Amino acid sequence: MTEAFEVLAGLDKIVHEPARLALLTALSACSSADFVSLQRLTGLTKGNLSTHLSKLEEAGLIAIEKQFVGKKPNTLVRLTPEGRTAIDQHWQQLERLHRDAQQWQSG
Amino acid sequence: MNELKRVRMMTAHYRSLQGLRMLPWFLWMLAFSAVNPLMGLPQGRLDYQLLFIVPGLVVPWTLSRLIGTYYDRVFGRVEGLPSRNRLVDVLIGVAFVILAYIGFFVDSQERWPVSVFGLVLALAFLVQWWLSGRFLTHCVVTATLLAILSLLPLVGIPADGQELGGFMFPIILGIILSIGSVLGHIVLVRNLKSLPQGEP
Repeated sequence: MTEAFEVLAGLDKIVHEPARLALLTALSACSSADFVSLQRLTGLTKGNLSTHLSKLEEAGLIAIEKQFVGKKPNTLVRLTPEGRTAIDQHWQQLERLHRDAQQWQSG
Repeated sequence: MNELKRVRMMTAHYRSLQGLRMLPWFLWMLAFSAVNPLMGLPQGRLDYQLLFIVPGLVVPWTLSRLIGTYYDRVFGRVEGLPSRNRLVDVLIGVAFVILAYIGFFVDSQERWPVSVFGLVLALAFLVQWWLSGRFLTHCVVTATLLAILSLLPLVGIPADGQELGGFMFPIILGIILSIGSVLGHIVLVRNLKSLPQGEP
């Protein structure tokens, strides 16, 4: 179980925060998503979503592209290769912890 | 974990769940199938057929584009991941086109007590449901309705509507596909969060 606690302590805080984990999970299932779709998927307010996206961009996990669709501004978000590796590893760690917790309960 | 799973599946199938995009095409198929025999248009006359087919291409296409704009504005855009195995996807698509053609041929040539074409369509929806990790539930509903329609002659109900000029099957098919597309939209809306108060 000590090993499980080490894994738990070693989880990346940038990735593990619930809203950011939801955003990264959504982005891992697509090539890109715009601001509106991420808002509809997560239920975050515009302000909260902007803050979380800025933090993820600063960490180099996502790339943000501002563009115009017709005459309307559109914010397109995609995972960077580092971001994809980070979220994949994070999910592997979570699943391992989940398995360990189940073994601990049954044992 | 369940919430994150929902987010992942919804993102992966964002476009597939935008069922209203296809609704104008299904409704046109329904309307074309219903109006054509009722007006007594000669089946073999291409000029009469074109009267319906040309507007039939323009009207649903325009409506579908407008609905697409609505989806992009209200639900946003999600670009799907590139296929992991494009060759397999193409092979599955080609296999279904061939099967559908064979089914259509068998239905028009043989008097079997089932619709092979309908069963092939039902199978296509079932495969789509399976490939989605059993997430696209509206595909199962569509597949079930299509299978029931295809098997109706077994219990003495002529689903191909031979007595009605052979036009009942595409009408019911149009209704079922329309129901399926609306159900897809409902799954999308029910699984997305509403925007916080005061935000457009």
